[in-house]
Amino acid sequence: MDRKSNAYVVTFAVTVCAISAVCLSAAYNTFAADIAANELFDQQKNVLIAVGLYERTEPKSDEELRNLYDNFIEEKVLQVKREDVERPVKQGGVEGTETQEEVVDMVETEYLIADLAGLRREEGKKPEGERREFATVFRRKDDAGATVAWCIPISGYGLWSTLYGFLALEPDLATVKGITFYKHAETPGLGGEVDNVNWQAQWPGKSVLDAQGNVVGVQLKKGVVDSSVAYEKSHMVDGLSGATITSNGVTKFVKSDLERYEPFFKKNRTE
Amino acid sequence: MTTAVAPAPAKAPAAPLFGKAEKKAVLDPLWDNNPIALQVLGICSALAVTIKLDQTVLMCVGVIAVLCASNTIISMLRNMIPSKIRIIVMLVVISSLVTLVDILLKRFAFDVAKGLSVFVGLIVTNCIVMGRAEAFAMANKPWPSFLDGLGNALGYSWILLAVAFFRELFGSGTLFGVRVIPASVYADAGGFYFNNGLMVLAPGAFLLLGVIVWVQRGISGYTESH
Repeated sequence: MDRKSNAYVVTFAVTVCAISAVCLSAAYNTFAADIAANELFDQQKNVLIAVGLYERTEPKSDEELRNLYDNFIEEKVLQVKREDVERPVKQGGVEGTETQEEVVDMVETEYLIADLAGLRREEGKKPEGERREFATVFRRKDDAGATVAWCIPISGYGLWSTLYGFLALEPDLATVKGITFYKHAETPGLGGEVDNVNWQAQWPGKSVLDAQGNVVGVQLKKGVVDSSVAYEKSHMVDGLSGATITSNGVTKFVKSDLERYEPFFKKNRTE
Repeated sequence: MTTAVAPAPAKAPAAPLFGKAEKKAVLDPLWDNNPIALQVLGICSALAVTIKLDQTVLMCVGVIAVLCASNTIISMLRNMIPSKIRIIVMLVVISSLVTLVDILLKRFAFDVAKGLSVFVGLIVTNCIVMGRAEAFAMANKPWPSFLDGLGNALGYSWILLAVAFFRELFGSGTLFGVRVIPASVYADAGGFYFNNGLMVLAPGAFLLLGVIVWVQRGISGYTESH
């Protein structure tokens, strides 16, 4: 075939694309299960960090971390209550991973994963999004089985991406124990600073409930928290410089996720 | 996208595996024709991934793998690639390889790969990879092209490692995550020492890279031709 002809060019382009597509799918399928296992382990590590069992820089082998997780973290799967349908519980866990835990409670708040930051929302329109049917909660227990901390997955839109992380609470279910993010695609150096350990260190000790017991979450203030103002001191952390939309997103989805778990928390608070 | 300044020398057809020209193909980009210090290509990632040595090593491994493979593959295809669409064909080859590297890193070095975030994917836009494909691999046989890729990737790597060495040492007081500057001298522990905050930010890398380019050119005697 003439190498300058259009037919040759098209044939060549299609062939190259087909070969590379086959190679990449083969490579991906070979490793998909292992990569998923790595991701799950990374999430478990982040739960350990959030509840204060592990520090990111601490040298610990994977084996030690797995033992920590198995011995001191208990996963519970909660079924989101829906009036219209009754569903059997099949799976739950972080992002739908299989778990053997039984259903322990119902959470009534309807939850929409998409558009928590309100970015793509038109004025007055109800946001569209996928409704989650299961929710996971992690309990950190001590050797005797008593609760040391609770941890919930948090997620929602920032600027470019959905952020995924964990928020840990003290046994009073009102005070923050720690926060981590394990997956996002925010701008490195701006919104990506949600990973900054110095910023995350501001979270512990903040209260997610106001004096009346309403869920207020933790707000990211534009600028620096003025600790002489009582409300700011107990309910706000510094916003991320140059990342207003990521900051607003974090504020919104932390509050929304806490509200979602509030019925479960309320029950465990009074017990 | 910039093409490299180095003209591709034509090879004798029956060259030995490690002849003079082959040695030159590997060694030349290490010093005399370094892609970063002399051609100032690929410095985006040099600024972005040099905060910690372990990340930098992984990035270098990625670039070495991609550059060697892309040069080899494109060289093998060079007589078949229609010149009209050669750049886009190179991009398909390079981006497939980068995706492959990304999958492998996520499988075998998840934590460090996560730290590299978008920058593994951005190897696609590294001018060195494209530059060598266009300037060398399109005109040479696979083996010399492989060596040219290896040489350029190593030339890129040692500069990155040098930058990362200083950034991690002065920015975090560690090397490969192991504490080198003792914790007791830090101001927190009653000492006098502070980490240099500039070093962990991109401008610190820019300054360091400038110094390295200056020193390298001072020694190698390179001057810009006008």
